[in-house]
Amino acid sequence: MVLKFISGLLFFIFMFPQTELSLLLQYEKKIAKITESEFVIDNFKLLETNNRPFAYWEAYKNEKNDFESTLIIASIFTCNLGGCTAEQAYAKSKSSQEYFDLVLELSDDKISKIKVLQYFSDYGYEISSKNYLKKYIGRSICDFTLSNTEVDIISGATISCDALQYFLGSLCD
Amino acid sequence: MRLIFIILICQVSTAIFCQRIDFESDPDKNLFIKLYGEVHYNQPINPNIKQNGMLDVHRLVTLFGYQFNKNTQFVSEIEFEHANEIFVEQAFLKHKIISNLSMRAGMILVPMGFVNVNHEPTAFNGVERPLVDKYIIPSTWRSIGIGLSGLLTNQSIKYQAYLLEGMSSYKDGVATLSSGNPIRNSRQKGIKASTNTIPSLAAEIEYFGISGLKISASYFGGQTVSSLNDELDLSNERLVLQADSSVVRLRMVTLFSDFSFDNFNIKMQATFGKNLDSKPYNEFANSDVGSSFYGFYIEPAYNINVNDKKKWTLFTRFSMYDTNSSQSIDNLNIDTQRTVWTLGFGHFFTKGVVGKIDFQKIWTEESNFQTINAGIGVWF
Repeated sequence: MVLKFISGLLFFIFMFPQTELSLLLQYEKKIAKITESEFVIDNFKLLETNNRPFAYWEAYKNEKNDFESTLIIASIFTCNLGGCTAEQAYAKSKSSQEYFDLVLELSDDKISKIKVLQYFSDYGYEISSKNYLKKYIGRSICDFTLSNTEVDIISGATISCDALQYFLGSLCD
Repeated sequence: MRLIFIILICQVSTAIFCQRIDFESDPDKNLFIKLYGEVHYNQPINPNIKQNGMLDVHRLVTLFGYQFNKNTQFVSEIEFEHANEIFVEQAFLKHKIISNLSMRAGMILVPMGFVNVNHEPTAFNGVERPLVDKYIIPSTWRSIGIGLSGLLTNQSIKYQAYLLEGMSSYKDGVATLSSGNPIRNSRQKGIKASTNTIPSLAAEIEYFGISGLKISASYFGGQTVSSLNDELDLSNERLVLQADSSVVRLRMVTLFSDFSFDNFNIKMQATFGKNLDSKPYNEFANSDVGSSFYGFYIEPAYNINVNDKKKWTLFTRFSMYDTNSSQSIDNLNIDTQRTVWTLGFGHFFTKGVVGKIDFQKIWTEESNFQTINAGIGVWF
């Protein structure tokens, strides 16, 4: 019984497709739900992709939307495998392994929607809390810099919060 | 059909549209090496008896990790304890199955209580780990097994569940469960561990949806392992009965909460455990393990931030535990309840470096004793 369960689990794990898709396609269903858009691929036009040391992101325009908005889907590096200790340099994160995936909608540089799509690390996952992320809604991305902590940092998720705010500030550039 | 086409296009193309963070193209940055360690000084204080202090390189743990690709990583920790013992503390493979759901297999920390998982010296208050996290939750508690962990981001819930090797209750003619150590000595630590056909189950669920608050509930349950069950002749009724008497069913539940507000933090933890079948076990193995045990603590702390990196943490901890709270035989060692009060502070010289000093007083049924502890801890 147990052996069957374990072998079934392993089969499921290793046979599940792990194909590398664009972030939009990886999270198609979730993004459709967040943006209340039925056909994500048809509606969103790729504006640009950007690969920086601290993050990879894709920017899309929702062509079926009545108002001007940009959708950003990003993989943001946070810290190192096994957890963060001293200051982890996500800004120069050539040695970062941990990351999280995030989607946000911008209207006139202001954040109208934000959600963590995936958090892989065992540390700092508190950043995915809806209650925390709603503190970002309505704020301009240009308010965020490394030296200016616009939104409170969560104790235990300092690096993830810092990485998110640094990433938002970088979008302003 | 459309999706299959897009997948095929992505797989065979290196076009910008498919570009993303990629660990495989630069393997040099995927290896990670870290270390944490703590060196302690413990000085018992007794006005009537002279006692030597103890200086100890309590732990030195090296972490080696490797990120194979975006979905798969390996983490290991090799521990040097008291400068002369070597253990593998963690050695597991983590693989993402779908977003927010991962499989973990190998030697895993049992997800029970705060300190067992967050045991780096910069993560907890006090020089020594809380005694509840030593005698009731036997940290560092790790087992070999397989399971799943994941996040429900909409609900702000983290969960994990593992099937693990059982605890060992009887090995080579020696009972490992006793009134003073209802569980600690039964850890197999992945050293040629024996296992039952039905593994133990460890599971934890945590809610983090309220700002500053984390609450979690953990469960561990399973039958212990006995060496008498190895190569057991099932036709020999006497041997089968002996083997049955050499195991117990272990059940444990831990509740934990961590609340932070500004510079104030309070942690609370409570654990209840049961050794079912302890009576026949004691009769057979000539032991004295109780049928239940418990432990709890409450720990308020206050942080004084000097700057971004430097801070002081003042804390006090009140804890109580009993390794033998319900007796299953009459001739028990009844002095197993401990009340512990700890008062101390930690100074973070910078992030990842801490110096700690605390005073600890322990009351037993018949006496009390005090200790001053000091130590340094690093994590880098």
